[in-house]
Amino acid sequence: MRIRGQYYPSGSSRSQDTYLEVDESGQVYLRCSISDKYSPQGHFEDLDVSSRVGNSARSIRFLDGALFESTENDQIDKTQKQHLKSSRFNLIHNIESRYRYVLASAVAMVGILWFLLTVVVPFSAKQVAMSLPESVALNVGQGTLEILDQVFLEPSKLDSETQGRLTSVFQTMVVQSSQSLPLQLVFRSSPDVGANAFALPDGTIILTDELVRLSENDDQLKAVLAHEIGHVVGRHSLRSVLQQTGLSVLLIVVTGDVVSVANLAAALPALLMESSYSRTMETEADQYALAFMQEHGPEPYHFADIMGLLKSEHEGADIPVFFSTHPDSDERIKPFLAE
Amino acid sequence: METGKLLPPGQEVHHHFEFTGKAGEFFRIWIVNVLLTVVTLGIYSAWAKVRTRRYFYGSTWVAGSSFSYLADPITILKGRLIGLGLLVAFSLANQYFPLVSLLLMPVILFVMPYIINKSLSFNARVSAWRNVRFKFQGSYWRTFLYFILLPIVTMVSLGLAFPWVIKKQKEYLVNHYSFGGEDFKAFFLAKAFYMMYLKVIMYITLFAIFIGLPIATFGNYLGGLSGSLIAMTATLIGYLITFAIVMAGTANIIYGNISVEEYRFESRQKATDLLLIYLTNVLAIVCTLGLAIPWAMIRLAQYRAESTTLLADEALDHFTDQAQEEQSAIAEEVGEVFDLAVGI
Repeated sequence: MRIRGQYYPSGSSRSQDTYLEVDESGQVYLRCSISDKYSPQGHFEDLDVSSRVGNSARSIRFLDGALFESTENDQIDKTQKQHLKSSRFNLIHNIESRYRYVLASAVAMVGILWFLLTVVVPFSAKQVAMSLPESVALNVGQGTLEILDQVFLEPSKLDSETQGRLTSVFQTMVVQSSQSLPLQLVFRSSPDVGANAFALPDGTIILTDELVRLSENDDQLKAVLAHEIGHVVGRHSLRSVLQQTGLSVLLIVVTGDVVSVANLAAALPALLMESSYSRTMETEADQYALAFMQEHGPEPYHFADIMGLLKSEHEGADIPVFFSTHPDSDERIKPFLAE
Repeated sequence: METGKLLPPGQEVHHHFEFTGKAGEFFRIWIVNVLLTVVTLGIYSAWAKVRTRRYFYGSTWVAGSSFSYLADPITILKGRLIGLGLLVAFSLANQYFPLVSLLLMPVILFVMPYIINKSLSFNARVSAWRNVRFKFQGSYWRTFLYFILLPIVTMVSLGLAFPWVIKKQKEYLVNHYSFGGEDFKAFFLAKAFYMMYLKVIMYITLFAIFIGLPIATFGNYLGGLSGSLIAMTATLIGYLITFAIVMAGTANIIYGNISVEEYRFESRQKATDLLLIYLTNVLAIVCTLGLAIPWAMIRLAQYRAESTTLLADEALDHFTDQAQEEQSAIAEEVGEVFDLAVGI
């Protein structure tokens, strides 16, 4: 067997056009292609042959550190088959070179990825979030409010009478929800954010002055609060962190060492996936609110009313549903109007 | 350009870089990599990385010899696991203990130079050509100066110092690489970097006025999904223009102005060529849901190789491999997971 390639002596960049010859018994000789001089190099079994990667150059390393490089991959494979006892070499290359396996890989990959993203990641995030002790789930995120206060929240300008009234409304709801969570309502003003409410992981619910002013009555605010309590009960903040971590790990795995342009292209599916996770949790919080309102009041149509007000308030910033973190509001209010 | 010693003109040979990788062949390697990685829950990713690198290194040729990538997958796997562990811990901390992560920031700033150095020297050590390995030997405080302190200068100068900082960073990196005991030397002019970023500003302004603005107005007029998709596309194209000018310009400045011994390089990348490649790559990747990634990678590698030439003597035979300490890949992988991509 004769393999043509380049020979480099140990630790030197001097290149020599050379034949590597292997005789029947597995003895290896190097023959210079110009001078025809040859030298024995021991047995083929003792050489360190790199595994095959496509048709890129393979390296065969000698015991003394010298290197032989060749792209005659088929010849090297044949020699290996002939002189090595183990048949495990080039396992991966054998998979890569069979189109049937490659096609099966492509199909399987799409399926597995879809399954991981839509089932495994959300499910395991939920399991983990729900199985963590309550103290962990609630104590994390202390300090979030302070940061929000520094960044885009201002002290509430609501009069203390309104604040007191809403707080007692909220207290009643907390008792009704029969959750042992340390739920707490705070008021903030935020011209940047506008009419909105947020639930923090530690059970703090923020209501903006703008939302209080937008609402027509306390029942509508109760509907919003029921939705936010739903977020806290479902530990949605913790779940979304876990989901995003899972998602980014998956993306790193799939794109691997991909050039940044491909990363850019992968950012779009990631964005779509994240907003889809978020929509799922909004729907869950809506379901919680609906169940709560059916049991303790007020009438579910109040949720639809405040959603309608919010929609007209935020008109103009119409984000297509794929990118939105919230489901379409017409879809959302349907169950609340069904009665 | 001042390069100290030069080869006599008669002895200088143009060794063109060549890339022999094929999209079809690499597609098969890539898809098997991805599948095995997903099936093994990420464990195989270390082997996948090594196979990918080996394919690209082994398909890049100059002066009749290809490059080789020598890293051991096990080393990379260890680093990757530690990196991922830290990433998970960090993102949880970031979300839930914002104050703790604020306190961690200065610690991270001081750890970063160490990670950058280790990562560069690992990568250099496992890259070889003709049985001779590359080497990177940085110093902690210089890396700290160029990659932590100088970027702060950029902020203070409202970005005016940015091209100069990039120049200093690249210069520092190049000057601390060596091949077979011979140091690389950089001869960069700050002016070249300033011209490149001026070009970016100029083209982006032109693009914004004549194409971006009309498109955005049209998108707004359409409204809804198609409108915002059109606006997103315009932003993406703007980003790709910037990227193409910077990548082509940086490669040309760097490869056009470094030497190792009396050898030099030439680089002829064009921003327009790169932009075309990027645009078609992104389009193909989006349309095929990612299946065109290998094709995109091959095209880019091919263009880069074809645009580069080594000016040296015929034999290139006197580099000798220098003994180097074994390096762990931990720092490199930690750096990679945290996206600390530093390089020339």
